[in-house]
Amino acid sequence: MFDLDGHGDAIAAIDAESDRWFTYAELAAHAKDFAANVATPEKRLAFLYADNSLDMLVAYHGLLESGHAVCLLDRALSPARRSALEEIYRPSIVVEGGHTTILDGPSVEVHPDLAVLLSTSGSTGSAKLVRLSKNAVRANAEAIVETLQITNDDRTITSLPPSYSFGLSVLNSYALAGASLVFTKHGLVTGAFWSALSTHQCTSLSGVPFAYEALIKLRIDLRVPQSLRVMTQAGGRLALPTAEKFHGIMTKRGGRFYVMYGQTEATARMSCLPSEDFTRKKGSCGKAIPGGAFTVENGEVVYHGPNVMMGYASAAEDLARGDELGGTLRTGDLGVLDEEGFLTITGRIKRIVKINGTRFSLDEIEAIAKVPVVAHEDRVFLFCETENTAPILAQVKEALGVTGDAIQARTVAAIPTTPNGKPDYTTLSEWAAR
Amino acid sequence: MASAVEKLEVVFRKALELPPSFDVKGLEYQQQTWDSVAHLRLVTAIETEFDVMYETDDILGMSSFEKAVETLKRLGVEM
Repeated sequence: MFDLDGHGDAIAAIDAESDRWFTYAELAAHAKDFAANVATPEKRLAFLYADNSLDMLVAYHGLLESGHAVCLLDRALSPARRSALEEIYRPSIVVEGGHTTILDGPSVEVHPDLAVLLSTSGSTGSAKLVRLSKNAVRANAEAIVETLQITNDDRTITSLPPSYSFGLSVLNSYALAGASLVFTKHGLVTGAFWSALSTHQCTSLSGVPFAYEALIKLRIDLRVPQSLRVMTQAGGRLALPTAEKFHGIMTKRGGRFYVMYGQTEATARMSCLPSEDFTRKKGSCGKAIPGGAFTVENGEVVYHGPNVMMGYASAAEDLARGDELGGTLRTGDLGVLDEEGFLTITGRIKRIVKINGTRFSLDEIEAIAKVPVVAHEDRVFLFCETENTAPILAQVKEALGVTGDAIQARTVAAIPTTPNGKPDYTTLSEWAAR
Repeated sequence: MASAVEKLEVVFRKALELPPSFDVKGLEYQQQTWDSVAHLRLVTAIETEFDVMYETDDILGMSSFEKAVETLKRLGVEM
């Protein structure tokens, strides 16, 4: 998919903890061996329980090389969630931590174009997957390399999970560019992470809004390692003062700060605000990436491009389906385009909320909470007719794997309803905003 | 009158949303609910409770409850 061999002796990946590393030629060879081990006459579905490790990288490229479809899932997924997904999709190949298991059982028909599958919503009960074609994965990687001007001199550190579309797109774009990846299991609030970044002279960092807010709290903004020249932000809206701060830091050293907008349904990224346009287009998430285009229909942002998914999957039979969208994605986000084609997102249509870069469906949360749920500014509100909201709040937070004030409960005397007896979400949203 | 260590245990349980009886003394980062997001919340809660200000290295180095105790000692709190 990415012609790894073509990058020869360029360093592909370094593991910060073990200091193990390999070149692109070596990665290509490992991937070929991996592919040979899982070769079957028919195309199959593989589940890759992924974490940020060299083993994962080899398995990922090996599975791409093998021609099988690979579904990347978080290695931290609970046994219960794993069983549920494996029961629904019946993967023939399961890979984790350098171990590959071939499973018996009736194989599922997999469409010839299907390359990658990703989950859309963190750890909620949803088994819905996004189906991405080879063309989409390759096209998005190309567009990202071009738009961010990634070269083979670049080096980044794994600050995002590889099972998350944003994280995977970093791996893909870097593979295409022949740039190098530093793998670490440590989060960016640890000394080990920053040590690895400095030791290996990383030039680039990608992060969701929380990451940049964390850097401020860590006062890293006062001492960003000198090698760092490029920062990219996606995965939600970053507060303008924080974005301005990092844009300032990067430009002061002749570097770049990019704001991007995307969705798993578009492989990863749809737009980019170039660093040089940041100041005059504050609040915008930029223009469509090369090969893509935006329109706005009834206030909804619609994206057109080769990186649009084939469609969703919610059952094994869906893996045989082809392209259902023809390159047009209704994003579910509201926005406006200015006369230069710069997009500004103004809200959401769908009942979806992004907490710390992870997307949750409000309807799914409601199914767990069994009370009406609305979102306001990326905070979720459970409306209860009881004062005793602690148990339900705890239950919901545990089910979603979320802590903190992103999910809150409100007590009301009575839930307002519409004439047909359903919860009046409009009124509840207004109450949530107070 | 709760000791400083006991106060710190309460702060940990609250910030990490752990049950009141949870033994946090041996807890380390990336265990239970202690992820990156919770980490910063924890730091803010400790700073507020003990009226101290963490340096960057304090935040980056606080990888366990024990380390938190050491950090507070270093910041002048009687532990």
